[in-house]
Parts: sequence; structure tokens; C-alpha cells
Amino acid sequence: MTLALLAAAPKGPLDTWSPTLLALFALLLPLIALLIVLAFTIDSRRVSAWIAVIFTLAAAVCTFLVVAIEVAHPLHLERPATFLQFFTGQSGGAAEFTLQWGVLSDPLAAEVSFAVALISLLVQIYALAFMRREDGVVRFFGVLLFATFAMLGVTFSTNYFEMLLFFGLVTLSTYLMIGHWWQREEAVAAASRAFIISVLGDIALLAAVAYIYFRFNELNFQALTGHYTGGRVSANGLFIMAILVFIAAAAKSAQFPLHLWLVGSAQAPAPAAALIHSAGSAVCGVYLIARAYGLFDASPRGLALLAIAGGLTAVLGVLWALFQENLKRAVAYTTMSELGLMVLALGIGAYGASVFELFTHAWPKALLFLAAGVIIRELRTERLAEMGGLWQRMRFTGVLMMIAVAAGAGIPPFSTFWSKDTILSKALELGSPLAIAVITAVTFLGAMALVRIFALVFTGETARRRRFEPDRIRDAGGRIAFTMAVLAIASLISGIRGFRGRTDPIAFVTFPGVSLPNSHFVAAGVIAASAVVGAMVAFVVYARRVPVPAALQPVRQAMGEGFFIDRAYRLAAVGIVLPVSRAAAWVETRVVDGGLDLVGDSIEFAGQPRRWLGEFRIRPLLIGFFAGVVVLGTLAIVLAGGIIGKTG
Amino acid sequence: MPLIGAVPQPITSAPLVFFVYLVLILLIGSALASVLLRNTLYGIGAFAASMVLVALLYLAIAPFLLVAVQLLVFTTVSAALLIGLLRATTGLTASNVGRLSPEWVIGAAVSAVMFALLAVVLGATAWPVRPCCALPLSLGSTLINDYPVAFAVLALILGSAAIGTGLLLAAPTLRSPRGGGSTTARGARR
Amino acid sequence: MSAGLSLLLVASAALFAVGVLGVVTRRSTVVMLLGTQFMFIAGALLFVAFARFGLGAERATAGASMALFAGTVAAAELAVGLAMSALIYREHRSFALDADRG
Repeated sequence: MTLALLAAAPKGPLDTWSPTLLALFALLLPLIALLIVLAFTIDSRRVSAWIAVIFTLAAAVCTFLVVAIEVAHPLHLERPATFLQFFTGQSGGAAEFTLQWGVLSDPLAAEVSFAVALISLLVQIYALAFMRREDGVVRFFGVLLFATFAMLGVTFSTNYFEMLLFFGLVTLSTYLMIGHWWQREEAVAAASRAFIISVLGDIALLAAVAYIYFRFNELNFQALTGHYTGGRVSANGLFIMAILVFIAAAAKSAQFPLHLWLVGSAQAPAPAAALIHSAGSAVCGVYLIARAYGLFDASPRGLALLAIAGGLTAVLGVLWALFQENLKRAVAYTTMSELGLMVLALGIGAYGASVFELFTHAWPKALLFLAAGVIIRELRTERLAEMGGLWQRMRFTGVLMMIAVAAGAGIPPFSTFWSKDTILSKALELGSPLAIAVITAVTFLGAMALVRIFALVFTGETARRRRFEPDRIRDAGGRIAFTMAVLAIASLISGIRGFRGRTDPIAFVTFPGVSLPNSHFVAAGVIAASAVVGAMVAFVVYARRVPVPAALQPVRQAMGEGFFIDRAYRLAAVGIVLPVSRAAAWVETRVVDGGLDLVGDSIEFAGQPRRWLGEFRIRPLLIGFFAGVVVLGTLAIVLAGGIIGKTG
Repeated sequence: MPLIGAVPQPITSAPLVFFVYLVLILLIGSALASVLLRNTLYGIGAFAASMVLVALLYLAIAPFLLVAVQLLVFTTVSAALLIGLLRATTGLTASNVGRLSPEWVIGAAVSAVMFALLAVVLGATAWPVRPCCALPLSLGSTLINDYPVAFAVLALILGSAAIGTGLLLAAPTLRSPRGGGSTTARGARR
Repeated sequence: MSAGLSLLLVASAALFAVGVLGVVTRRSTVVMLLGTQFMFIAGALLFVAFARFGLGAERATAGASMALFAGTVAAAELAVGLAMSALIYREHRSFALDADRG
């Protein structure tokens, strides 16, 4: 009895603190920092940057505490903490519906929000040094804070509607980040493209919200958990909901065919690109699917859609990554392939593994982008053909990039190995040869693509260019080196799984009804082998700069341009959208504006002074008006009284 | 003091009845004063006093939020607007004197007849009492839950009024030679 | 002696009549606007009176909501009306409604 009591007694702060309150702090701190910067310190670059860093540090600490509390209480599902409540269901038509905006804290939210907050912090510290001599520093930090707020809002959302709101904020923040150097045309075009595609996703999510509310009368994630399988909605209805949610997620996470904006995001400054790819918009879509997984679990066709789209994205992304000429674009395409892998994993039912992949992938991807930023700045070029031979000159960055490449490729014991291995073992359990083949191929080619980047940048000799002195290349130092080192350490250790007990990251995030795969040694071996072999092949091929045979040049160009899908979209836009918009413009100028002009002109006509009006005097007019009211009122009352008298 | 929640009875407690009568008499009196006084500044003072008396009346028969809003917002805003206008245009000197004319008499007669008509109709009818379904007691939740459309429309109206007023006043005009300050926006943008 | 619906209705009618008096008999636009304000307040008072005495005390909030809206619209109209008065004053240096006729 005493033992039971002791076991049940709170053991310390982790047992008594409220994770939702901490989550609320973590959510609001970046917003408060943004408001402080906008209101008070907008004229001082240094103070604004430090305020941003300090508040993000506080938010990261809060998310870390949330993770710690969630680890200590894996089954403890708190009520979400609400800070705004509409339609409390006491009156009117919305009789049983309550719309609450607040924060929700559970293992999924904890894991992802920790990654978001910590990466945002590291990116901001990096940007302190990286953006030091740029214009628009305060705007950059403001946008980073806003993006952090939006992302944390997405991770802590309690219902579909709040998720929609924060999705919109993420769209806006992505646009602002990509278009930061707005003086460059390509950046503006890329930002607009990202915005349009993301907004398409938001519209799909709006439709999903409307449809889900219409069928279920409920939007809260926690309240909806049992409702999907109840049979209230037919399989077709569930599939439509799943499609709409998937479109929203695909737009944010660059799934095929909405993948175009991810490459353009390379136009963002390196810290912003790091944030977008590892813990920003790219993560939102996968998170939405994970949050709404009940919906997909209840619709097998939805899961199949996820698997097919994810697999297609993964394969295409990695193929295109192998043929890119631009450093940042190559890394961006590898992100696309990783996101496809995550969605594929969700489609085949590896829920915990997919979320864990999200977590482990974030660190090496961020590190890749930050290192790319340093390299591009030192070499003053973005093209891979003009790089090379940096191993002698930038040893520190080279080592870190090697760690990042190994971690991203899935080489044991680095981070993504542990998650990819679990995904493959789930596929082995399912016994689907297509899934197994796709995962293995993606791992192999992904390793190739990443090592290709490493080889082209660091091995060989620095390409000679006009007006460029290779001897002036300096390695990264100070804050930049510090942040990259932290990310490298994270890439090293974030995969370590405790195979027992509560600290297993994959068992940490579970979905009821979805079983955890056993970690097959076969799966581990296959992943390790394909990653290592891919790495070695790539190293041999690219370190020697084996030239591409002329017969394959068109293939190379097609791959490099992403199968010209971008151009196809643009032609479709020009061919279809332009005539439609011309027609709409005609309607607007002639019909709508014409109508308004008619109204305005007639008012003007009526308002012009007339001589006969000018001869009236206003006060007698007013007297007459009220006298008339009195007369009419008396008449009405007499008549009404007469009628009532007759009938009554 | 307010009997919210009970069956709709007239107020019968003597001090409260006395209070209501007093407030009403003062209200009508100050309203008349506000409308009839020659000096516009005194008229505004009487207007502010009548708004305060309306708030006191609401204290007896309406939710407290309304009292607070009436008192703080309408009274102060209206008085501030009026005084600001006067200060900007005439320098708070005595206003122009209107001549007594036949229109005064006719106008007063018309308004007296109107009052009689309304009083007879309203005061003499026995209003039906139809208690209805239960509703939340708090004004805030009623506003948000029952009248969100009205709220939105109100916000639009206020916004248009603000913009319209600003545009009207910012139109370039001649300065008034009688002094009293400029009516255009004051101060440079910071 | 009791204070009931009838008293408040008569008071509201009186206030309305005072407002009409102000609008009709004065030349100054500022005072005419004050008159319109009284007319608005009379209407709002009617709503509150019916809410309190007429249809059941549980509806007090509905009447008060209408009074709130009516009062807010009145304030907005006052603002616009005063702006127009200011313009009239700028043109003719007088608040009189028929100032352009001398």
C-alpha cells in the first residue's frame, strides 16, 4: 500500500508542471519578441537581433521542458489549454459546437516543436554573424520570429480551424523569407510561386475544414479521435476529406505535383532556407498528416494515396537532385525526396518512424544549408562546377559537412539511419515489394546525391575563375562555427534509440491502432548497405569528375530541369489562365466598374445644385417633415384602432 | 439593485422609484436646456449632463456594462468631439445668436404635438408580456454569440465614419481668420 | 407608486420630442446634431425599457445590445456630422444651416 502510494506521488517538477502552459509560453514568446522589435527596437539592428535570439532561447527551453514532461508522462493527455473561445454552444444555431483556440501538448507536438524551436534558435545565432553586413537585418529577424511563431502554432494547434489559421501564417512567412533579397528577380519569382502553391494548399484545407465540420459537427482533434471510424461518414466521404487534407499537406511539404516551390526556396538567404527546409513549411504538411492520421487510418484509399504520392515524390526528388548544377538547389531536391519518404512512411503505417524521421532529418538538413551558406559566401558562386578543392582550405566546414551528408544519407550510426531502418522494417512487415524497392532505391540514390554534393565541393581542385583568388578562402569561425557544430552533434546523437522503456523516440509518438514494427536486423542491414554503397559509388564517380557521355546530355538536361514540369505549369498558366483572366478583366472593367461608375455618376448628377431646390429653406422643410410624421402617425393609429375595434 | 432574473415587475421599492423619477425629470430638463440654450458651450455641458443622467438611469434598469459604456464612451466621446469642434472653429467664445422667428413657434408646436401623440400611444397601451426562452445573462457573450453579424456591421460603420471624418477634415481649406487654431491634422508624422 | 414601463415610455417620447425640437427650431448645425443624438438615445432607451419591463427580464441583454449598437451608430454619425459642420464653418464662418444665404 505504501509502495503504491509512493509510486503514485509526484516526484518533482516534471510531474507537476503543466506542459500546456509551457507550450503556451513557447508559442507566445516569439510573437512577443516580434512585437517588441516592431514597437521599440526597430531602429537598432544589434538590439533587435539579440532580443530575437534571447526570446527564441526561452521558447526553446520551454519546448525542451515540454518534451521532458511528456517523456515522464507518456500516457498523460492533458486537456488543451484554450486562450480564446467562440460559439460556446449556449445559444443560437451552433448548439453543440465549441470552437476553441489554444495549445495542445502531446508527444507528437512536443517532439516536433522542440526541433522547430531549437533549429530556429541556432539559425538565428548563425544569422547574427552571417547577415551582419547586409541590409534588412531587422526585417530578417522579424520574419524569422514570425516564422517561428507560425510553425509553433501549427505544432500546437488544437483543431483544424486553428491549424488553417497558422497554415496561412506559415505561407506568409515562407513568402517573406524567400523574398528577403527582393532586389533579385529570381527571388521575387520564387517567392510568388511558393506563395501561390501554399495558398492553394490553404484553400484545400479550408475546404477540408468546411467539409469536416459539415459531416462531423466538430473540428477539435481530440474530440474527433473516435469519430472517423464510427460509420457516420461513408468511405467516399472520408476519402474526399483525406484528399483535401493531403492537398493541403502536399502544398506545404512539396509533394508531387505541388513540389515546384521547394527548389525556388533556395533563393532565400542560407539561414532562412535552413529553417524552411528543416523545421519550417516543409515540416508543416507532414505534421498535418500526422495530426489528422485518424482520418487517413479510417480511409485505406487515403493511405494508398499517401504512399503513392510520397513514393513518387521521393524517387523524383532524388533523381533530380543528382543532376543539379546549383549547390542549394541540389540540397533542396534531396529535401523533397526526404519529405516524400516521410509521407510514404505515413502511408504504409510507420507512424512513429515517420515522425522520428522528421525529427532526425531536420538536423543534417539545416546543417547542410548553413554550410552551403558559408561555402557560397566564401567562393562567391553557387554553381557546383565552379567549386572544388575546399578540403584543404576549409577543413572544419568539410568535416561538418561530411557528418551532415552521412547523417542525411542514412549511414549508421548517424541520425536518419535509425528512422529509415524502422520504415523499411515496417515495409518488410507489410510485405509490399514496391514499398521495399522504393525505400531502398531512395536511400541508395539519396546517399549518392548527397555524397555527390560533398565530392564536387570538397575534392579535386578549386576551379579557376576570373577575378577570384582561391587563397582568400577562409574557414568558418565564431558563431557560425558554433551553430554548425551544435547541429553536427545533434545529427550524430539524435538517432540514438533506447530500445527499452520510455525513452524510445519511436515508441514515444504512437497512434492507437498502428503497431510498432520490430526493428529487423535485415532492414537495418539493407539500409546501411544501400547507403554506404551509394556513398562509395558517388564518391568514386564524382571525385574523379567523370564526364557525362554526350549521348546522355539530353537526359541530364531533362533531369536538371525537373522534367520541365515547371515549364509545363507555366505554359498551362499562359494558355489557360491568361484567356480566362482576360475575360474576367473585361467583365470587371465593363460590368462591375461600369456599374459602380453608373452609381457614382448618377449620384453626382443628383447632387448638382438645382435652382428650384435652392429656393427651399431648410427649417420649414424640417418642420414640414416632422409635421407630416405626426399626421401620418395619427392617421395610422386612428385607422388601426378602427380596424381593431371592428374585429375585436 | 437591478432586478435581473425576476419576473418583469415594475420597480416598487420607494427609494428606487424616487431615484428613477428624479433622474428622468433631470434628464428631460437638461435635454431641453441643451437644445434651447443660446451659448453652445453651455449647451454641450447640458448634453454631457444628460448623457450622464441616461447612464444613471441605465444603472437602475440595464446591465452594468451598458452603464459603463454609456458613461465612458458616449459621454466623453461626444463631449470631446463637440468641444474640440468648437475650440477649433470659434475659439470658445459665445456663439452667434439665433433670431426668434415664427419658425420657432411652429417648430415647438410640432414637437409638442409629436410628444403628445407618442405619449398617448405608448403610455396608454397595455403591453403584452411574453416571457421567452432562457438566454445567457452576460452582455459580452450575447454580443458574440447572438449578434456577430451586427458586430461586424458595426465595426464597418465605425470604420467608415472614422475614415470619412478624417477625409472630410483633411481636405485643404483656408485658415479661419477668427483664430482658434487650425482644423487640419496637427503635428508631423513621426 | 411604481416606476414601470409606461413611465419610461413617456420619458422616451419626451426625450424624442426634445430632440425633434432641437432639430427643427435651431439654426446651428451643432445643436441640430445634439438633437439627433437625443433622438437616438430615446430609441435606445425604448429598447432597454422593453428589455427590462416588457418582455421578460431574461431578455435584458438583448435590449442592452441594441442600445449599445444604436448608441455606437449615433456616435459615429455625430463624428461625421461634426466634420461637415466644421467644413460649413470654414466656408462661411458660421454654423448656421442656411449660412450661404446670409
